[in-house]
Amino acid sequence: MLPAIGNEAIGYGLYSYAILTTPSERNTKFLVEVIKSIPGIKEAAADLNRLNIFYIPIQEEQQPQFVKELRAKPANFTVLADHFGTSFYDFRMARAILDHLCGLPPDTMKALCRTDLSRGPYIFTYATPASRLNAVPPPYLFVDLSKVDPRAFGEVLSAFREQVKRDDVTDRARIDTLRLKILQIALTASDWVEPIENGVQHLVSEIVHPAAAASDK
Amino acid sequence: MSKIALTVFSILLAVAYGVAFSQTYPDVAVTGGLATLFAVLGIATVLVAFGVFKLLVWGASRKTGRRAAPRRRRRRA
Repeated sequence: MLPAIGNEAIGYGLYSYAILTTPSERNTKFLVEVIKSIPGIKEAAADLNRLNIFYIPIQEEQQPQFVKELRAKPANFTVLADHFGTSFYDFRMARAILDHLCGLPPDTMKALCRTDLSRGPYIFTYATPASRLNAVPPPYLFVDLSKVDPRAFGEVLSAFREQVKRDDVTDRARIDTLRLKILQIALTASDWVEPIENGVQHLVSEIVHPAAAASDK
Repeated sequence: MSKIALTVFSILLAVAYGVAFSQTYPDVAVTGGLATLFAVLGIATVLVAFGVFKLLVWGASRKTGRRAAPRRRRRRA
């Protein structure tokens, strides 16, 4: 957790930030996947300079309350992420980090910085603590999940974790893959055929119910 | 090919698509929409494969100049 800008611990190999700009169902699903798939930094046994620390901004004054709640009743991931997203996540800090990134954007970021940046979520990875930098000079890794289906967040996070293990963290070789593009297409197509499924279910219930009623008579 | 064979092949293909998907994307749950998509893809694949097969048979019979044996008409009782 990152309770304030510039509060990062020193000495880690990479610094990643979960950037959410608004409380939403998408962002809750993203937080669920983050909590599920990224282990706590205290569980890691490697040297600090070999670790990628993943920060989630938290409102400074709310941090003790969150820790207290977490210890009192460890809820399931969804409840925890939902509660965290609505009550504890620091959207102002996340906005500030985004503003720093868009302060002096490289060509690859210019199009994104021109949008309203309200969808998200985003993941930002840098070699040094970056929340305090007014303009973040490249190279860095920025993963925009605003067009990713929430069901694919787990796979994208998994790809992200593979990416940060590469020698060149910024080359996106594990993120911009055909495999993830096919997944995105499959999930979009599944949304299109969902009405067929609902229609078939409706049709079956229409056929089965009168038949059951007739047999009861 | 009979309708039953087409249905069986469609189901088998849908299951195969589902298995391949869950092997490729272990973090994605195969729920209603995806299952329907695999079923539709299974049916589409079988129909396309059947169409291609018929086309090939027709092409081969044209090349050899042989006509397919005429169907016997059922005698009416």
